[in-house]
Amino acid sequence: MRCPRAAARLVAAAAWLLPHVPALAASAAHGSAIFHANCVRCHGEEARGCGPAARLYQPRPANLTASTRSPEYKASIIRGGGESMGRSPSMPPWGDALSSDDIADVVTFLSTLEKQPAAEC
Amino acid sequence: MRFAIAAGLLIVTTAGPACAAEIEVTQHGNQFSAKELTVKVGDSVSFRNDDPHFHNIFSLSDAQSFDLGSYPKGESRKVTFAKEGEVDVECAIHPNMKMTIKVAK
Repeated sequence: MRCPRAAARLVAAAAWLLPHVPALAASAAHGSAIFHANCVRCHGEEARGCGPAARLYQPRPANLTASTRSPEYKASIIRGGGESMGRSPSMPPWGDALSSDDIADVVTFLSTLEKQPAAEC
Repeated sequence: MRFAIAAGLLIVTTAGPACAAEIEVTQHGNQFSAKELTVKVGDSVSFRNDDPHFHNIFSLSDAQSFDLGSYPKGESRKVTFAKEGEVDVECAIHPNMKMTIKVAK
């Protein structure tokens, strides 16, 4: 091995990550279920901002696959709604309906989505 | 004759609905106080939130689509129904909350 330090770091990272993979997968799966029960109406099945209710709103719901916001920001806007973050008041506050764990799982799920262009709707 | 027709039109257009009613539907325990409601064209329905958390009442029905936004306990928001048809009303935050408003002529 040309670079034993890098290899050691890689092994350490893998050793840390591997036990967490099932937990992350479970979190994303739960987040996906919550997303599909609550969020697709506006954000759409593909989270590209084009659900059946999107036509009611201006600005249109966000394309969540292309968001560059931090996980903390996403959790905050889900919890407190768009208005609490100076964004669209059309995004409702979910803090009473979803637990912190639920919201964290939705954020984990969103982090698994591949970036897509906003949908035309 | 022209004057009479114009005067008649003016009366019709300014008189508005003769007896438009306002009906209140409350939201309590994550349920609407009515599952079904029949109103007349021109009537309004006021949706009052009696729950200690936000609701967001909306409809995607062809007869009338609307979104009243998110609002807390104690607040009401109103919709006036402009044409006949069946309007399915839901809460965006609580997907199990559903009711139907039949708008008759």
